[in-house]
Amino acid sequence: MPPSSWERVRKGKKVLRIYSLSPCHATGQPSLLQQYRESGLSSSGYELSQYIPATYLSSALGGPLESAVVAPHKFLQPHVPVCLGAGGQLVLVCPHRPTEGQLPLVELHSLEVILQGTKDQEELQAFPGPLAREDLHKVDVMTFCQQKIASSCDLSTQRGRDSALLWKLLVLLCRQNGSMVGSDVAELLMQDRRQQERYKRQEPAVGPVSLADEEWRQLGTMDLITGEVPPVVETQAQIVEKFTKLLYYGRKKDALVWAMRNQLWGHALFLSSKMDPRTYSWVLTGFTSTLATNDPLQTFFQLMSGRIPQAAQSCGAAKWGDWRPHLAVLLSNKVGDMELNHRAIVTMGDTLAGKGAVEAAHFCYLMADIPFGYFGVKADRMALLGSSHRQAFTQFATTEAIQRMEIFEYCQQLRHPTSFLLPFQVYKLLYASRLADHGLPAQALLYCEQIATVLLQQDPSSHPVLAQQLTKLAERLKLCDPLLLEMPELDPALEPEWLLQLRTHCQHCEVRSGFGHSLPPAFPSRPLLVGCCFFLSAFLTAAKFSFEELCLAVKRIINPDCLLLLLGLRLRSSLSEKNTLQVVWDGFFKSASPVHLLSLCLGPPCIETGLGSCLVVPVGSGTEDVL
Amino acid sequence: MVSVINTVDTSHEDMIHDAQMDYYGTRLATCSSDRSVKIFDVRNGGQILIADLRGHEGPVWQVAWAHPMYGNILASCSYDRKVIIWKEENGTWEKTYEYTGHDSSVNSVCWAPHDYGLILACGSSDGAISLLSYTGDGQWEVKKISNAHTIGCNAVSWAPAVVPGSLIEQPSGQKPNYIKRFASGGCDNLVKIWKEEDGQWKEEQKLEAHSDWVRDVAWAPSIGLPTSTIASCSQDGRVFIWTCDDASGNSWSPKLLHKFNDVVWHVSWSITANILAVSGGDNKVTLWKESVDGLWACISDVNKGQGGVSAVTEGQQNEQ
Repeated sequence: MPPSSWERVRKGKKVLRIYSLSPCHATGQPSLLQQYRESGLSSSGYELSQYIPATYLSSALGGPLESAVVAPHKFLQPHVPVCLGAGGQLVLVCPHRPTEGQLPLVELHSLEVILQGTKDQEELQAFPGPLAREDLHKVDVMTFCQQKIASSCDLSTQRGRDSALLWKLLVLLCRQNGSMVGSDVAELLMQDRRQQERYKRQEPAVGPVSLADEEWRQLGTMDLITGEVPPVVETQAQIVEKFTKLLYYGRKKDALVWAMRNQLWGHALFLSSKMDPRTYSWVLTGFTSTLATNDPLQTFFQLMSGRIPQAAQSCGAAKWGDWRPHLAVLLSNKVGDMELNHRAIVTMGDTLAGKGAVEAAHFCYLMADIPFGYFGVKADRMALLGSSHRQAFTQFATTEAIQRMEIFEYCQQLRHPTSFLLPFQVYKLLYASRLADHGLPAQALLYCEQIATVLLQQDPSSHPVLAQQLTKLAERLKLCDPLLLEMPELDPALEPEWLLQLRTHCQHCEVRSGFGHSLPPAFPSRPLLVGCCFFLSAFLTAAKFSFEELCLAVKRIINPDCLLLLLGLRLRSSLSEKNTLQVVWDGFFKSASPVHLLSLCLGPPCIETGLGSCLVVPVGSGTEDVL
Repeated sequence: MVSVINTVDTSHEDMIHDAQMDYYGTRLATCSSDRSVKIFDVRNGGQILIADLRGHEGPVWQVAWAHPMYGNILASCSYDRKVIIWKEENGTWEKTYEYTGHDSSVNSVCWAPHDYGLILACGSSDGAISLLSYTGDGQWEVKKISNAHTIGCNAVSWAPAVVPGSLIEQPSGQKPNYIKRFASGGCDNLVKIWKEEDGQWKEEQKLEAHSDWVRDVAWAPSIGLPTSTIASCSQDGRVFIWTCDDASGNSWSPKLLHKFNDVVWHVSWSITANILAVSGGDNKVTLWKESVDGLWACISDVNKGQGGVSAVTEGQQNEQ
């Protein structure tokens, strides 16, 4: 296909494309044009070169043609450069020719408006996040869950119903401020069950009969015509009478068999309970075997007997029927052996997961308080609620899954305000990045703040990559804070406290673990009027830093150009504090413009507690002798 | 609803070839065939000209903002074979460095992630790629990759400074090992990936799929997700998305985003790479997003100049 630019050229538009190839006389190689033809590369170069003769070039440039190859212009026609900005803007250039009087315009569009109505945008906007806001009412959260059930759960499929169930569980948790009792959940499980399943009863498997055939036959009278013994239908009273009769003769075993055959379970169980344990178990087994294998009653009895119920290993299969009643039974009747109960529920979850019923499996895991883990760690059972982490990452980390998980975290926080799920914070960052890219940077920044708050409470060094990436995103979005827009008198260079602390922690981590690379050289930069707090704890000294490393750390963290440094260090080394400070001082003086130390927190309390503090305070010029 | 929030009259006297927002989205830099580079403050719907930078002797093709930790720095490259680095000092913008080491038009400039320092990659029609690293005291060190692309290099784009997958993995406490990488696209129809090893730059990968000059490459920013992604567009009208799922960066596989009817000039990622903007010879801008199933779909075509937008419904099929 001929390049379209060539087509336009042919239509006679003014072209300044100069692409002339002079033969390389000096080297004796074939001309480049020849080489292109032979190589079969790029039609553009070849065809264009046909169009403009070399002589045009010299007149255009107003000088002699050099023997070097003259490059084509990158752009000869108006085009639309485009870029996406951090504040949710789409920048595009209008493809105009100002030389012909058209205006040289650049348009800034709002990405939020452009994407209005798209599925992803709507999904993001429908969610009332971040949920850890003060002005959020839990009704909003419950409404969201209910909308999800109504709109995205296909109730005709088992998985759809399971998904709806998970949302309903979240509604329940929300309503009850994060606490749930087994029986509440059981009630939830049994709700909306349109038909009670009929669990087919079976004939008792009684086992080898001890009575002789003749004796059985005696119980019925032979039909004189056919020679067969018709089955005897006896009333309850007659059955009991026979039972008693057998006992008159001490034939306990026979009595038991008779009772079991005739569904006289009360009598059978009472009698066998007074006999040896083996007989008792035999009767019990006989009793439970009358139940269908998938009868929740079976599950209950098996659990009561101290075994992992069969249901835990078989549910999820099509023939097994609904898994819910079984879980309900397990939840409402927590046996003395909590460990058994726990194992039963987890096994059930594993079985369901193995059959691909992810939502059902995760429901079970929640009941068993299984913790959330990481994507890619096969041993972890859950990473995001309701989403299988054994699939590809993009399919796993859907917006819906993250929203659902955030609701779960919120419910937990209703109960314990300081609780959070550490592995989940990563997905909140992912969610924030989606918000930022869909033209919702203010909301993204709110999420960043939430994550930062959690991390700072915990310890940012527990997840350095998260801390680092969070800092980067938050820095980029910091000017999209609605507060700054509303109050323009606020200095945009002032960063929120959480961001300052987070960045400090990150730099602290980097130095400690040898993170990162060689320092960027100190490029003299604009004076910043920033206050920040920097804490070096005794922990730092425990890492046995060398002097050089320490100075490097300090130099990197503090802008030497114009920030004031208040440094207090606690060093358990042979070198005195004064020496340390001297080195730092020298370092600063050498690096850039003079740095002024205002004060030093070196008093005994600091030393005793092992805390160092370094306060950076804005300053004007003028040297002050501090020490 | 109208999506235009600001229309900046740049007063350029000739075609505008690039417009880039700074790191925070508050300033706009533009460059033109009129040989000038202009900087505007575009906060809150305003358009205040901050600087009109003269110094180039030919059309200026591209501008690139450095990370603000180094100050307000802008690089520009031009047909005049020069790369100029401009810096704001005490409120005024000045030329701080000029690089003239290329024999031909410099087509593209791109700053490396700030974690690596202040490093600028420049791609030129002489086929070479230069890497300018600031070493302090106004000094820049130059490394050159000659014959990076035969005939010429049209675009350069750096890989983000993050180990793929490191965000979602269980934190291991290990020191991350960053390898400097960038991608380039050239007139040899190839996209190449370059890697720094022991201070030397080597060609790591050659990505072949285009049948005509590669006009732009853009390495997607990343917050640490497992997949590395590069977008490339070409004179042949095709846009390819290259993905690599292993952290060592060995196996890249292309996926055709779309075959347009005309040359595609620009591909540009959103700040965390959820959306790709594509602009072509038909002067239309389209926005693309990857669905959960891994298929790319057009989520919007932006009608420029008219203010109106039409959000395209999902389900637009990729055309071969």
